[in-house]
Order: sequence, then C-alpha cells, then structure tokens
Amino acid sequence: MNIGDQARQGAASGHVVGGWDWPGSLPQTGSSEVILEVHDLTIDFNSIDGRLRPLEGVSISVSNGEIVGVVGESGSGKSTLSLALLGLLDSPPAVYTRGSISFQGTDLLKGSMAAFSKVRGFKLGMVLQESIEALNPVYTIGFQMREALEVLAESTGRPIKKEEIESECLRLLAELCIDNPELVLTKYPHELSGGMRKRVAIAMSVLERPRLLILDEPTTGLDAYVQNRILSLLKRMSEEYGLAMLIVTHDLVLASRICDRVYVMYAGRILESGRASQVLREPLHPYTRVLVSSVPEGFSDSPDLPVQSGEPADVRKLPRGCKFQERCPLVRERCRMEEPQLFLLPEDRTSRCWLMESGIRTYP
Amino acid sequence: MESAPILELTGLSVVFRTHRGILRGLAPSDEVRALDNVNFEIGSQEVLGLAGETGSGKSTLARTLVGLYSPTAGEVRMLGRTIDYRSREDIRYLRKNVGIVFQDPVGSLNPRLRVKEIIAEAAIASGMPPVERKQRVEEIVQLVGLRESALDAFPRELSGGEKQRVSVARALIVPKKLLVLDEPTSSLDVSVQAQVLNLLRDIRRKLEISILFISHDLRVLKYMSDRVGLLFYGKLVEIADTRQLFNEPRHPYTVELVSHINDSGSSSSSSPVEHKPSATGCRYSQVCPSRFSRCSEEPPMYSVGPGHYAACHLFESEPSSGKLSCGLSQLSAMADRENTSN
Ligand SMILES: Nc1ncnc2c1ncn2[C@@H]1O[C@H](COP(=O)(O)OP(=O)(O)OP(=O)(O)O)[C@@H](O)[C@H]1O
Ligand SMILES: Nc1ncnc2c1ncn2[C@@H]1O[C@H](COP(=O)(O)OP(=O)(O)O)[C@@H](O)[C@H]1O
Ligand code: SF4
Ligand code: SF4
Ligand SMILES: [Mg+2]
Ligand SMILES: [Mg+2]
Repeated sequence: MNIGDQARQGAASGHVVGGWDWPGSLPQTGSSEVILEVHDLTIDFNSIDGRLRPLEGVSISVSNGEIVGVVGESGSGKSTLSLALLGLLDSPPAVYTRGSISFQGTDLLKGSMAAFSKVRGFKLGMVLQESIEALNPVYTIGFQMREALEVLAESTGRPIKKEEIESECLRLLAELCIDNPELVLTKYPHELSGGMRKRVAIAMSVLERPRLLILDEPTTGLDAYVQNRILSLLKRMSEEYGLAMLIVTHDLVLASRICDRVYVMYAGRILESGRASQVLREPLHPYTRVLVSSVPEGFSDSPDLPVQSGEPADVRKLPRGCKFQERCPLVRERCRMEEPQLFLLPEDRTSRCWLMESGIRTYP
Repeated sequence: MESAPILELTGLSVVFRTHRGILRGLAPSDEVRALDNVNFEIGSQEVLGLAGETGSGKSTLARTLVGLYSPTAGEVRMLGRTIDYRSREDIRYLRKNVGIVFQDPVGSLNPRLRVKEIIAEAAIASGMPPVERKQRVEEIVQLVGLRESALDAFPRELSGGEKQRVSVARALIVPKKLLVLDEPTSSLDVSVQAQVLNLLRDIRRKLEISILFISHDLRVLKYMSDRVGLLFYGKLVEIADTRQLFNEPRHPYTVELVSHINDSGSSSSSSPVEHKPSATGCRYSQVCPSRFSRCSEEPPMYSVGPGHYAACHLFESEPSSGKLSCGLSQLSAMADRENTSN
C-alpha cells in the first residue's frame, strides 16, 4: 500500500450527520477563505528550572472547509500548538513570545485573553488529547450534552424541543459507533472507557456547530473500525458544512487518509508542508522520509523497517543548527552550524533542509 | 507444523459477572461474555496475530493465558498439559512458560523500582541463582537493545520505546515458550514503533519462541504474523495464514476490515452502521451485508481452505474438508495439520 494513495482517496464515506442545521450557513462552494492564520508563533515555558521553547516560529493557515493536519512525534509540540491556538496554555509557565493568531480576521493575541473566550467552544471547537478534561466529572454525559444544546438554542435564539434534544444526542452518539447510546447518556465520564470518552468528547465538540475544530489525537488508541467511523464523520462534516479542521496527530496513516494539507512538525518547528498526498508520497525532508518509511508494510517476510535508532527530539536539549541532525542520514557540516530556513518550493510545498537550498526561492 | 503445538485452546469461554452497586443489588447481574467458545492453537515458533476491536476480548485472552483470569468453560493446554486453573501448581507451570507484555507500558512497570530491579524481579521470583541472574540480565538487556545508563533509571525517566524494551526484557528474563504481546506498540510514535517491531522480529529469529501478537492495527499484524485470527465480541470469526487472510478474506467482517487497509480498495463504502453484536444467531448479523435466513442460528467454524476457517453460514457448502463445528477443535487441528503437511 501507499499512504499517498489513501490520501487521494480520502476516508471511506459515512453517514450524514443527522439531519442537522448548521447555523450561519456557509457559502457552499469555493469558500477557500482563510479562517485561521497563524504567523511566526513562538511560545516559551518559563519556570524556575529555566526556559524552554516548545514552539518556534510556527506559521500555518487553515481555510474554510479544509482539513489540515499537523503531524509529528511525541514531544514535537503538537499539543502545545493546539492549546496555544485555543488560549488554553497555563500561564505561567507559558508565554506568547512572538507571532499572531488571526481567527476570522481578528488577532486573538491583541489585547486580553478575553478574545479567546469569545470564540472558544462556539466558533472554535476543540477535542483535547486528554478528552476526559473536557467532560465534567460530576454530571452525566446526557446532562452535559443537553446543556450544551440548550445553551446553543439560547445563543442562536432558535428554540429546540425537548424531544429534539434527546434525539439529537442519541443520533450523534450512534453516529460515532457508540453502542447503546441511551445507556451512555446516563453514565458519568469515569464510567466510560478511554475510547468511548474520546467519542463522547467529539460528539460534544460538534454539538455547538463550530466553524473550526481543533482535534488533538482524535483517534489515538481506538481500533480500526471506530477510527474509520470517526474519520468518515469528520470528513463528512467538513464537506457538508464547510467545517474547517486542524487535526494534530502522530498518526501518518490517519493524516494521509483525511487531510487536504499537512504540516510536519519536529522540535517545535515546521519542517515540511504541502498537499497531504504529495508530502506523504514523495517526502522532501529527511525527517518526513523517516516517518513515512516507519509505517509497517507488507507481510512478515518483508525486510525490517529502515529506521535508525534515535528518539524523538527533546526540546530541552536541542543542538545548534538543524534540529534533526542527530537522526539525519544526510547530515553535513553546514547542518551543524546553521539552522536552515523554511524553503519555499514549487507546488506550494516547503521544506526546512539545506538540501532544498537550490530550490526555487526561499521563504521571506 | 511438524512439532506439537505450544498452546491449544478448546472451547475457551470467559464470562464476567458484574454486580452493579448496592442499590441495584436486587437486579440480576450483568453478564459479559468476553470470550465465547474460542478454539485455536499456536505452533512452535509461530507468530499468531490476534485482531479485534475494542472490547472484543483480546486482553481477556492474554490475561487468561497467564492465569490472571480463569476460563468459565473450555480448556487451555500448554505444551500438552491441560491447565487446571484451581491448581497453584498448574498456574505456576503456565507462568513459567508464558511471558507477557501488557497493553499499558506505563502502568505495568513499578514506579518505585529501578529498571534493573524490575527486570531482575521475575528472575528472583523464579529462584534463579544470583550469579546466573546477573549474567542473564546482561544478556537480555543486550538483546532488547537497552542503553546501559537506563538500568539505573526509574521508569518515568524512560521514553515510551525504552519502557517497552524494559517490558520485553522483564517478560523474557526467564526463558519462555510463548510470549504474549498485548498491543505492545499502540502507544508509541511510528518511528519508535518501527524500532520495537524490528526488535520483536529480531527476538523471534534469535530465540526459539512462539508469539501471540495482539493488536487492533491490521497493518502491524500483517507485518508481524504468520497467521492471523479475528475476534468479534468474544467470538473467533476467522483464522488463516496471514497472506491468505489479507488476500482472500472470507468472513464479511474480515472483508470489511481488510478493505480499509488495502491500497487499491475503493474503500467499500459498506453502510457504517453501529457494530452492535446481535444477541442471538450470528453475532455479526445486525450489520452484515450478506445476512440471510440461516443467520438467526449461530454459525459454526467452517473450513474454507487449507488452514483457513470462517464462522459464517455462507461457507456451509464449501467443498473442502467439510464443516467442523466449533467444539471440535481437535478435529479441525488435525485437518489443519494434514492440510499443511502435504
Ligand atoms: N475484570 C473484568 N470485569 C468485568 N468485565 C471485564 C473485565 N475485564 C474485561 N471485561 C469486559 O470484557 C470485554 C472484553 O474486554 P477486553 O479488555 O478483553 O477487550 P480488548 O479486546 O482487550 O479491548 P481493547 O482493544 O480496548 O484493549 C469487555 O466488554 C470488558 O468490559
Ligand atoms: N506546562 C508545561 N511546562 C513545561 N514544559 C511543557 C509543558 N507542556 C509541555 N511541555 C513540554 O513541551 C514539549 C512539547 O510538548 P507537547 O506539545 O505536549 O508535545 P506533543 O503533543 O507533540 O507530544 C515537551 O518537551 C513537553 O515536555
Ligand atoms: S539540514 Fe542537514 S541535518 Fe537537517 S535535515 Fe537537512 S540534511 Fe539533514
Ligand atoms: S453468518 Fe450470516 S450474518 Fe453472520 S457473517 Fe455470515 S452471512 Fe453474515
Ligand atoms: Mg500531544
Ligand atoms: Mg486490550
């Protein structure tokens, strides 16, 4: 198999999300308007143990209806990025050192953090990696879902009938492969398995019909079938309602199946970006090549996977120069001295590697 | 397979009875059939992959194989010896021969012990003399590719990949016949997963050991296993040689799952309805696109090719060695051997 092929095919189609009515209905076609534009975002964690920079100069954009992936190994800064975009980083230790986050044209970093709370949960939905945190432990799932729908009805000024609330909750849970949704509504979050909680968290996040959904590891730890189901559902929502998504994951196969574009992240930096099918089929950056060749392929008599030893980067001790040098099979002298910039290449691709210097032109 | 199987399961069932809280004490208890009449065997030095979605009973099987759960019905035979789960002696025999790596690498390592103590613990428990133990720790640490400095560390100081290496070392410090790996890589990054998979393949080549590899990732199972079995809500629905299973899946459930990982597959957009098991008849019948009248009866395991079995009524009239009911695993095992030896 080739994960690039899957990228082009996209996830298997699934059910339509209930008979929903997405408020503020979108221009249905060609709404390629940018909804989220992050520029040069740099975050520091300042603590008594010193300073740590989990994100350095991150620039990404997401358009309406687009599914964008941020792919990287653990510790690369993915969760920090999603929390930063939501204004949910604990401060201290976190500090927004540089950059801007523009959501629907408003810079959320200008002024107070109140700008985040105006959009978060409504226009900017989220499914955090620790999905249990999103659910209140002292209320049943049913109570929390109903409450969310009531709040929505109030804020949009469109009343929903009690039966409608009930049936929407059930339908949404069933859509996410939840067995016996009636029973699940009566449960408390701790009574559910991890996978179940994740699905409930996804259901909760779309209840409020956001315009952009940030999902941190949405299907990690779930089995193939449920994973498939969730991907179909997400894909469908994006197609039908123009819902934009930023999916943060370490799972390349997942990214290749659902994303339109991907950013590859390492040590808090974007190392490569482009259309998902291209990046994962013909990676340009040596790091992306390592990731792609690590996906097991073939039967038990196929050769061992071509991976070198070496662990994901630790932002506490990064080398000077290219941050990937210790694991890079193509490392050369210059890489140890100077960090490459993100080179802009044909077909809207970028790659942060000296080997690309002879590419077309460099990033501004 | 020339030699006798290492492990044989016959009609294995594990049923959990969960009593709900005090207030509901009067209500009848819930029964969960985590495993229902499962039959298979693992040959000498064979890697058997076991797939299944969450809650299908994979971990229950793993835990039963090291005596943490007891069968409600059926038989577990280890190296030809039928295990009596009430006998301490037998459980000890089971644990002596079966090593296990648990699903959760973090929770399964004692946080208060140093890595070398964690690894040596099992050897001490087995009564291995200190001199031999020391040498064995060195050997095993080398085998799993753990850096020397990790030996004095506590688990929390290790990366995910290193923790899994420690778990493997601990499972193998006393030589085993069967290694049970319950989702050994599902919490790891792809590049680290690749390293651990390479390690496990290396172990397989170096040691004379059989492996039960449990994972819900079909890609990983395909890459690691000689044969693959699929569980659906406690039922083994299909089992076959890996190539056979991926190239010619027979059971409708397998067909669906395999279509998701195959490249050309125009991802058969089979109606993604809820995977709710049916209470009577074939468990897959609620969602099965091929369902027909017979399906209200529970299907037995039919032989659908050499060493290839599927629990589905569609194969009732297969011309091969005929149908073999689930309970007759001995027979099916014999047929299996005949089929593979010629
Ligand atoms: N100790 C227990 N008491 C009661 N029920 C249990 C117990 N252990 C497992 N179960 C139930 O048995 C069924 C099978 O669980 P098991 O942990 O074996 O699934 P699994 O296939 O390993 O799933 P996963 O992929 O999530 O690890 C589930 O319905 C589970 O809730
Ligand atoms: N609150 C925090 N204080 C200090 N360091 C942190 C904090 N949160 C995350 N980090 C560090 O920042 C780096 C990136 O972490 P994270 O964003 O969680 O990565 P990922 O989600 O890609 O696995 C890691 O080295 C992590 O240990
Ligand atoms: S800059 Fe050098 S070390 Fe970094 S990825 Fe490119 S070749 Fe490798
Ligand atoms: S027995 Fe019937 S319902 Fe079950 S898998 Fe076969 S065709 Fe489908
Ligand atoms: Mg994370
Ligand atoms: Mg399990």
